[in-house]
Amino acid sequence: MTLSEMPFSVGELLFIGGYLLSLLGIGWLGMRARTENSLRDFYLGGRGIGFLVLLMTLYATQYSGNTLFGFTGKTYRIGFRWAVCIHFMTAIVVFYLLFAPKLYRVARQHRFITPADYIQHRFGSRGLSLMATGIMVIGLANYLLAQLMAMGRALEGFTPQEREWSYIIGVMVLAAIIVVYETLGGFRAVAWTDLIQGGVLIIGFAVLVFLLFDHFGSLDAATRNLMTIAPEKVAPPNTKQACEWVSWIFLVGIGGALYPQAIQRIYAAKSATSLRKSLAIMAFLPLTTTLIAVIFGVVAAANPSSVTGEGDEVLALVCREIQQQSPVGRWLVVVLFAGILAALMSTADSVLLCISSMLTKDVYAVIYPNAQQQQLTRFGKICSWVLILLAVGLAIALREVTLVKLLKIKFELLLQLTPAFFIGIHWRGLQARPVTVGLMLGVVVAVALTLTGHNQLFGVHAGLYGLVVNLAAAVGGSLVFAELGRKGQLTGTSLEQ
Amino acid sequence: MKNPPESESAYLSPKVWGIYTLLLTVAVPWYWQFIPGVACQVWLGLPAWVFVAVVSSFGVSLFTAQLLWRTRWPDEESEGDAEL
Repeated sequence: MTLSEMPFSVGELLFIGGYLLSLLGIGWLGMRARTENSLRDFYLGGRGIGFLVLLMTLYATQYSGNTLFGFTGKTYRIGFRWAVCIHFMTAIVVFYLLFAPKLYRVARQHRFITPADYIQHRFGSRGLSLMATGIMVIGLANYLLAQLMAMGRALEGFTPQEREWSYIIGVMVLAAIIVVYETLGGFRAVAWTDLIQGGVLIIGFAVLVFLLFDHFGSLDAATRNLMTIAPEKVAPPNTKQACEWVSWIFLVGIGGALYPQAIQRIYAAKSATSLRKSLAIMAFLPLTTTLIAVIFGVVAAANPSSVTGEGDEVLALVCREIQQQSPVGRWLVVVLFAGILAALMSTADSVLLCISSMLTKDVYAVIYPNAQQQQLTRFGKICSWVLILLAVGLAIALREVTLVKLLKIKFELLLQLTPAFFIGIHWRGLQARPVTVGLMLGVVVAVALTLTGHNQLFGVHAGLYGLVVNLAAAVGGSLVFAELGRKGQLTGTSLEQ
Repeated sequence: MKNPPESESAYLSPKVWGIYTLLLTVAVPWYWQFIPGVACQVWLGLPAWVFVAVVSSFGVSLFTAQLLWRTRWPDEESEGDAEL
């Protein structure tokens, strides 16, 4: 690619390069701030993080490449019906109410590092903990892959002449930066970069609104235009589609609340006050983020002559067009581009760190119980490098898969942890064996339905069918065991006999 | 002024989840198909059904935020108010 074909001028590239280098600098500062060479320090930042950093890291972690590319692309394809994304992002905070306060308290008392630490503590079952870790690692690996693919999309949309190479270079360079600053500073580096990335993301969304209305005119005009050229994108949902809305709200609301990297942020909160206040503000952020993504997709769909893309690259294509209009437009797109990178990298780094922590603490440390903290931390860093190499390879190989499809598979799996976290934290009667059986059945149902092409049946996602079976086995089984135990006590026998 | 309730179990009360159910019923646009004439009117740039969904979502955010804001968690007594 020649310089004249590049999407940005040298000055603009220097600005973006400076931003990326600053992330490496933060990684180095994170390493300097390390108080001890321990897993807790590397994966949770030692004594915890306060309100502002916690809020921004929660924000930057929850809002990702899916929000920017997947959501704008999906709205472009199906229209206003994708407004459900505002609901399901709000639902994540609502579902936190069910377990986060108590989980935070227990995690502080017992110094948890990974989500499986809670499961091991609560149920005392190594098999269940390992199974939960496996599900979370698979779900998150999928998510990491989605972020890396979105990084490639970010660049390919800006450079239509060299799409394939832009995609590959984008994935490789950004992945390398992430793994370097994460290896240097661990959770501290990730949370501090999230502070900057969250800020850039907020500015990026504000710029997006400005660019959109400046270039395409009012939302009112776009909606009316869409009514004429594609009325199906403005029509309210029918009964089946309304069922899909409810299904999406539960799927992402529960699944998002059970993000392992978000659970680790609950553990990492410096105090209950900072966690409570961060969540209160998080409740409003869908209105400033996903709503804007929806409006963007709708406006793009209402201007089909301007936008030629069919999927997740719509955002980048529109930005490229705006970029060519004026010098001010160019610089605003540069800021937005930095916001896009921020969204992608902040989610990818959290996910990468979380997977590495689970493989280290829940698998390696179980196999080698006498391993020193230093050895465990070194293993965790090696894990991050191996994982990122694998993910980069897959992201390049699976370039054609759309982002929303990847997003769904992850939630189908995470959803199956609901009984252990939502019910197990409150009800002491929930027992390990029924929860294990429920988890297995839930995963089998969800995966079997998905693999046979039944992602949704009657508007309800496969994962929710799995969850119903899962809940029935976990709760029903626990009640049966309790009853058998009670009868055994009455007759002087026990279940073990 | 009333002291805030100090138990996270306040979040689990049937009243709270009853209000959420009510908000969900309004927020999910299942009923607009029966009034298509109104559904596609444009209110503040959005189709009416989307406008109502967005306002309902704001209602859910507001309700959730006030629940979190006014309910102190038991751990907070020992933490003091000094950190931010």
